[in-house]
Amino acid sequence: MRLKTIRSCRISNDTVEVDGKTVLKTTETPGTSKQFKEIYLSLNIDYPKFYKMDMLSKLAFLAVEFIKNEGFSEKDTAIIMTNANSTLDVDLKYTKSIDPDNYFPNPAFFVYTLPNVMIGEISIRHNLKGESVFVSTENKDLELLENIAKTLEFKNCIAGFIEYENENNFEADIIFFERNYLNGGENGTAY
Amino acid sequence: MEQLIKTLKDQIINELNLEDMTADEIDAQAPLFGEGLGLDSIDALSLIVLLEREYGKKINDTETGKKVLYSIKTMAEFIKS
Repeated sequence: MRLKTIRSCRISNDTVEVDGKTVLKTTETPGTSKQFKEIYLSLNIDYPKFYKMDMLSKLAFLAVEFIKNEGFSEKDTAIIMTNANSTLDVDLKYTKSIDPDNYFPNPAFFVYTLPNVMIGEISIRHNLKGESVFVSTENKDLELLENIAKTLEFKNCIAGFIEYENENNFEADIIFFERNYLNGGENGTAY
Repeated sequence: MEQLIKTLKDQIINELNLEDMTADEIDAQAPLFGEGLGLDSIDALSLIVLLEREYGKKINDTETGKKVLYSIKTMAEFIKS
């Protein structure tokens, strides 16, 4: 049994793919904040809070922007995110920001040291208040997503793998699907 | 004042980890919270610490804080006062 995807987005290396088709090739070095800014600017949206986010949240934010649609529902859209390295990138930045003499670490890093914060950023952006889950998993695992989805209440769901360990290991691979499609049904709505 | 605003922008970019934003992209008169940069309460704490650490200026009550932290321009005016 496999989830039937209505929309999908994959961001890796220098490529953004939507529904399996390349929609953007970036010119900045992959995995850098400059590349993420390049992708953000390509979307032609005005959301300055993007600049405040850590790399993991930026990546999640960007991927969801490419699949957003009128099916997003305040109460009925769930979010399931997974990755292998949690918030390791910003955890390291937070640790480095601790002053050996004065201790006081950087609050701007601190607020992103939980992986479910990326779900929060997506929820704020799209006004989503449905159920959400973050699970740490070594590899992309569609079956795991499906098993988690079965335990949640939702009409449709944003789910996938958002990884940002460092510039050399990052990827967003997310899908949007409807509950009607969960058990192999064919009654979902395409957006 | 112009130089102070430019310096403040650079300090805020550094303090709030806005690494891929440039000073030119920040409107000195735009609200820092809600709209504009979309800062939150944790950022307010960072800005209060910045004012005290870099300029020796203390914000002692909420009302003053709201006025001072409205925009980069109001922060600069508070530093100059």
